[in-house]
Amino acid sequence: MAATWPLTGRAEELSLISGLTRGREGPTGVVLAGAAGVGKTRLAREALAAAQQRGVVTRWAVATASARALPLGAFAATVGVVGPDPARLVRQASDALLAGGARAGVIVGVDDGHLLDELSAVLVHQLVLRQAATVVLTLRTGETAPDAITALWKDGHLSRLELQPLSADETATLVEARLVGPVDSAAARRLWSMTRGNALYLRQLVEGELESHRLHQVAGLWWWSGRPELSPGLVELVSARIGQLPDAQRDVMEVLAFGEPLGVTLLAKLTDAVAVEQAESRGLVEVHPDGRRLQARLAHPRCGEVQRAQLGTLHARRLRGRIAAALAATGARRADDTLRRALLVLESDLPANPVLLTAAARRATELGALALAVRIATAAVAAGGGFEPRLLMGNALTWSGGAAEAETELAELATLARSDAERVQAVIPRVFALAWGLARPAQAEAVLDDVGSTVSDEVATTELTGIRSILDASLGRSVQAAHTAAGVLADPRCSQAAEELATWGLAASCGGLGRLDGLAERVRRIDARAEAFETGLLQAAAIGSSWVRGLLLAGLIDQAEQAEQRYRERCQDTPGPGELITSTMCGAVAQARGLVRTAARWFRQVLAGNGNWSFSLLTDLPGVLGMAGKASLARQALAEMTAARNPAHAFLDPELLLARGWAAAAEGAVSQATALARQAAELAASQHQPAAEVLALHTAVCFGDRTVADRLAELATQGRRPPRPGRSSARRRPGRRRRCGTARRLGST
Amino acid sequence: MRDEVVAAGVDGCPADDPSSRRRRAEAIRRLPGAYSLALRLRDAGLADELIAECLAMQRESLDPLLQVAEAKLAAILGSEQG
Repeated sequence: MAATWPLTGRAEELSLISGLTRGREGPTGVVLAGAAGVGKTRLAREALAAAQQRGVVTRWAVATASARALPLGAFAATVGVVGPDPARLVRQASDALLAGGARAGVIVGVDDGHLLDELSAVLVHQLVLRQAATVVLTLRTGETAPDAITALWKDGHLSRLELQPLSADETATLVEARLVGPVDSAAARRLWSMTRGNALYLRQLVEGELESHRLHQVAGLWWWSGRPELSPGLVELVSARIGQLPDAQRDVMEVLAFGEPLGVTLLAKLTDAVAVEQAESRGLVEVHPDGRRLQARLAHPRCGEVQRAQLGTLHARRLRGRIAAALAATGARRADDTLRRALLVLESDLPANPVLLTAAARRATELGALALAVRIATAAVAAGGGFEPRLLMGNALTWSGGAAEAETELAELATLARSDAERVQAVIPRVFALAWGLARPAQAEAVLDDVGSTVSDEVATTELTGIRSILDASLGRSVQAAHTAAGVLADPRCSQAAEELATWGLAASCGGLGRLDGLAERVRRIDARAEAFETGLLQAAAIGSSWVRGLLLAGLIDQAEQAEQRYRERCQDTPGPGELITSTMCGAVAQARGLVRTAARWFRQVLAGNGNWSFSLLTDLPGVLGMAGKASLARQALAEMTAARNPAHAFLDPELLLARGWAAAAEGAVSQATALARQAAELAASQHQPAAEVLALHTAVCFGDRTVADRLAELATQGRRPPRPGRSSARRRPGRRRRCGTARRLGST
Repeated sequence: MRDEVVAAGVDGCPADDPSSRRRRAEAIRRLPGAYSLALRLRDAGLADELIAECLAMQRESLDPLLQVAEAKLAAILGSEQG
């Protein structure tokens, strides 16, 4: 690990500064402006170091509030001159600064130029105007600088560069350079989102998290777990800055620390309009348009954390109550307002409202914020919310890896259901928990059968059939699943929930079947609902994952990549299953493109972050490692995947065999690899997954098998009309409608 | 280990073709906020004074900011091609 922080993401700024400080005509230098902690001083230091390497004499002066009271206070240490005559003083200081620079020149760095005393400012001004030295001066945006300094750029003598915080990509690069290794993309995004690219806050945060071991390496990847604590350095830094503020501006910061983002009008009502404006001018508060509102938030999230940590519990509870009441008084019409209001109420001096909390738990589920959904739903249940919050809690637990707890909760909930609709609502997440969470697909089927025998409501029945189609697809009964799902979707009584479940079943089965006709439109409908938050984000991503698998099996990599990017964008701020599902999609697309290192990185990221998802999400990891020639790693990953095998994911068994084949190939056991690929093809054929069979046969060809061309040609020329459910593959009759795209492309291999 | 395969079709396109425009727009999106906004506003034809006002910065600061923004954009597009 690097002992110091490297300078990355500033190559373009350094290049510009280098040009501005090496001019041959006119004054040379640059004013670097920016927010506190953005990296102005470091950049100025680097510019001086570069000049020094060219033989230029460098001088460095730091202006401070305390030295401001002294004439030439900033330069006192550098030039060591004192005297009563200001004009003489400036000349003496100038001579001292320029001493020894006759040949290659002098470059003077001035840090925090807004704090310069008047005489120091005149000295800098004269150095520039006389072209006696190159000047690199930093100053904080929003602060008033002496006139002589302001004139430097106002009169066009020096360029003023507004230094920006690092982008998300630049932040990730900097952290990886510091840690000397790849960082989990979710961790990198969180680091950026908590620091907004402010280099100083980033350094404080990373060093603190390293020290506490919450930032640690797993499988070669830097992974960040738990909630970051506030390092003493950061608390000191932020406290010093906030401590200097007048009370009214501090109130603005406090209210935003607990309630951001807030509409500017509401914030002004809760605090003081002039103070809000002043806080914005100081760069402490940012204001952005959001629809018809102007929303205010703290410029740096970490400032809010420090304030929250420092405020007394009772004061904080009262403040949250005030903000929640003010939000409610505005009507709180947006869906996000409900969630924010509920969160404020939960930790305030106001009484819990089960209706508000249930609505908020529903919203958190839609957003894929599962831990939050569990927390709010639990509070709603405690406040007497009844059936719905318990269902929301069970559902969120199922998705977030708490399958055992969810199963207990949902089994109990089933006994409380008062209608067919409620019975079915309770059994759907329970089937997920049993089959995919607890690897008990037989029990999941039994529960489904049991509920099915008691439900007579027709709409509820379509929903039950919808979940059954997903289970069938996952158990490798592709034809049965596709048939069942199609039946639900053709049923006029099909509810929205049934449509979502059946689309999932269809997407999960049709990928292996190589039948994607009409599926894109159905997936788009679900995506549009997820976009409008009518469908849960995770459910849409899971359906999308099946869709992407189908596209990849069909060889439609561009389309798969477009879909993957769409889901990734949506889920990137949702740590947990959404992140894992989309990372798996990214890995699969990279693998299909032959980007084996990229694919392995994505899959490793999933490995580091998953709970009980390893088998379904990581079947391809051993294969990718095998393709990359990493035999021992492939074998190790294979052992883990095999141990984690879940019988509820039987449809992935052919792909697991292929992964074993790649691991064997990496070890040089090509005959074994070929046999495994052929075995995978046979298994895929028996599961009626011709697209997966084509992939397996193609892999066999890659291993040197010359005997599969006939079967590939047969698949290429065969129609893909599947047999009716219950008919064996041996009796399958070739249809005439369409061909399997992948087989057509690979048949000539 | 197999070498990484470079995604096809990332260079050789005229600047005004849809694929280039899409890549440029995507690269602009990855820039720090102020750079991204400055380039988008300039592409939309806004006058410099107005761009500076939107960015809440002094007019004198706009040219260096745009230079850095362009350089960062070129670096992103270059890294995609490399």
